[in-house]
Amino acid sequence: MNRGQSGSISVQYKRGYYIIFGCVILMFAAAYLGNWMLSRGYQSMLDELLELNQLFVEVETTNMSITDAYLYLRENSIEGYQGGKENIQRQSQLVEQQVKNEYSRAKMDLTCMTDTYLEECDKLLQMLESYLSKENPQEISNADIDSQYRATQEIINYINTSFKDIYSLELTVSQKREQEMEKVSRNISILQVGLLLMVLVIYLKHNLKIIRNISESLSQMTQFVEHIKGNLYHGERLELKAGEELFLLADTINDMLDIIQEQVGQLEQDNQIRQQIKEMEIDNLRLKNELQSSQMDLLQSRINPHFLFNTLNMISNSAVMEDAEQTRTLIDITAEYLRYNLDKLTKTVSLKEELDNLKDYIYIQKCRFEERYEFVFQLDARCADQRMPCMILQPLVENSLKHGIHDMVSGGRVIIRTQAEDACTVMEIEDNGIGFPQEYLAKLQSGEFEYEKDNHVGIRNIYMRLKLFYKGKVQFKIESHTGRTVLHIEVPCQAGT
Amino acid sequence: MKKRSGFRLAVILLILLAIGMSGACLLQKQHKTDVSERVRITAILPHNDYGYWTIVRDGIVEGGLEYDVDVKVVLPRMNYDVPQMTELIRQEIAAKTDAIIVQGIDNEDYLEALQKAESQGILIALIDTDVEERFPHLYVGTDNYAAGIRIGEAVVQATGGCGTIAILSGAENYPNLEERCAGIREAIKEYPELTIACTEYNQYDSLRVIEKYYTIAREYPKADTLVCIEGTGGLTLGPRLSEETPLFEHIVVFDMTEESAQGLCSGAFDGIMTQQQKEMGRIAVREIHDYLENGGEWNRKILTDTEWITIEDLEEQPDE
Repeated sequence: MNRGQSGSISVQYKRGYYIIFGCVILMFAAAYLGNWMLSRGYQSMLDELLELNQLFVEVETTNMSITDAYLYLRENSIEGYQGGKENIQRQSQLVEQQVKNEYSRAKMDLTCMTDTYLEECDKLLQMLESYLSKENPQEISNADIDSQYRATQEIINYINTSFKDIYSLELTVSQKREQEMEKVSRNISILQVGLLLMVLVIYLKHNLKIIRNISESLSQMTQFVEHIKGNLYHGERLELKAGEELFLLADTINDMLDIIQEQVGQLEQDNQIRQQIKEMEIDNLRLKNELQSSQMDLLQSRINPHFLFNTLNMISNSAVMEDAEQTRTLIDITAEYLRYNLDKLTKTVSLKEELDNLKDYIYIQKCRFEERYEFVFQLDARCADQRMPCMILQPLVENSLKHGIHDMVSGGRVIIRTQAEDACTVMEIEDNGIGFPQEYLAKLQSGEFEYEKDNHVGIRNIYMRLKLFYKGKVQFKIESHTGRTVLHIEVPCQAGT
Repeated sequence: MKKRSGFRLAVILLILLAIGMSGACLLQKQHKTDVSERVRITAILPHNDYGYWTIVRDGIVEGGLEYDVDVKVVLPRMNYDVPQMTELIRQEIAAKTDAIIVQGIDNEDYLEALQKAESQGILIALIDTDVEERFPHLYVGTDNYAAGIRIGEAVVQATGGCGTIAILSGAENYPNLEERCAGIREAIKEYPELTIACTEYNQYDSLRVIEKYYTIAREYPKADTLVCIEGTGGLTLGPRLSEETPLFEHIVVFDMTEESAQGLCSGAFDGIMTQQQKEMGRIAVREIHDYLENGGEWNRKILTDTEWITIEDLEEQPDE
């Protein structure tokens, strides 16, 4: 998102104000410039006419002095002429300046005529002076002076004609110029109004754009909020078009959405964990219930153990008296096996005790099946003190006999193996029987046996007990195919009394 | 930063304002060039006839533009008002103009005024008509005597050397017209049966042209050829005779104008003797300009050519 394009809303508004301000300044400047030019034009026109008129006045005044000097020979008139001459020359220079600024043939001719007039007047005065001079009065005749005076008046006539023509021309030009100035003034007014309208249009358009952008952004925000209300994880981000303030708001909303999504995710995860814990607690309760049930069964079976053992002891003594040694041994081992089952069931035992009990069981089975099955012990002496729950190995060997090698007439073999490793003790029960059914094996290998409640309660029971005993730190693997089934139990080393 | 932006904006606007005002001042100052030393030429023409002298005036004005000199054309209120033209010359003397272009008129006051102007350093250029050598001047115009001979020859050709000629001139004692008349006489002197019955003057006035036209026809019934030796005759009779039957068998006129061309096209006129009047005006201005720029010989004559135009020529060359 390119935020530099538009800037903040306040900056956009300021920009609008700057445009207005700039245009108003320009408008005032244009108006000022236009008025200045117009007034300058008027002033220039007026000045030119006034200067021309002043020249005319000076010429007329000076000519009166000349007439007086000619008619009455007055000294004052001659002095008046000298003063008037200077005024004419000064005014004539001003008119010449006008000609330099803007060439005019008529004015140029006029200034030359005034020069000629002054020259002729000077000649007339010289003639008068010579005539009045007592030294040589005959040189200049009265007729000559008269002729010279007429010459000056002839030029005055030309000057008057020229003045009249120039006035007429100037007034015509002034009229045209005034019309042009009025036109310029009107155009300036139109320009000002046009500029004002243009400024208003620009300003309104600018503001409309800002408002539209804000409105669109708010609408977009509303839609976005509506959208996330229905679907928190739709994955979109709020992106707005205008205004840094709105950009910040969009960012804040986006950040807020991120936080809500994260917190909701966390809650869901917590809920899931809580559900798992609950399930585990249910399992524990179930296990405890089963344990209590088995203990109840056991108690029921121990209604009169002393009677059972006394009876077995009596049978054993009877076997000795009858010289039936094998029977006596069988009865003794059976009694031992039963005692272990009855006494140790809820207690922790050593691996050695567990193996001894297993050997008793195997002896009983051998008496039953004679040499039909072979039992091999591959034991690591270092594991003898490994502490473990009671009745772990015997049920597993019993499973191998029941489901693995049961149908084998001969050659059935069960290997019981223990191995001490770095920090754990490995126990394995291997048989060469038919193995587990594939479906059941798949379930066991995927760990589903934890929840299975079918015929193989023993394996599940053993696994759950080990898991509880070792606080979950137990590995229980099953490898099984026809001719070889291995149950691999790996528990942490726990030696003790 | 925001304050700086506002300040920058204000500075930019002020600069723009300053540039605008400076531009306006410069535009005004552009007109203030020193033109007081421009050459001032005054052409005092006898009248505005919408023909010959109008074309001369156009030539003078064109020359003024071509050579960048200030040309002023003034006219008397009445046609050929010589005293007023004299007064205009005196006025120009008082105005210290650089040069005066006028027609040479044989009038004492007129010539005296020109002489005075010349004596005060004003260049005198005579156009169309020359005068005697009483002051140095330049003459630009037709060789009127030669033009008279050419028009006489045209009359001889038209009449076959037999007939009576009536001449309609402008005014008496005008040297250029007298020269044309002399040329005609020279051209027909070999033809005794071709005679000149009368010479009448129209005073460069169309009303008089019409009056004299009928007067000659009435008073000189034998006259079969009318020769107008100045432009007003052709200018006046051209449109009139294109609508009525001419009273003369042959009419020849001077100076090509729209009206005289109309008479030629209608068959009323046998031909028109044309002068290069526009060229005369332009040459006069050129010579004044060149003389004031480079100096040289001022007192001399520059003769412009004439051409005899018939209806056949007009069809081939419609311009002017």
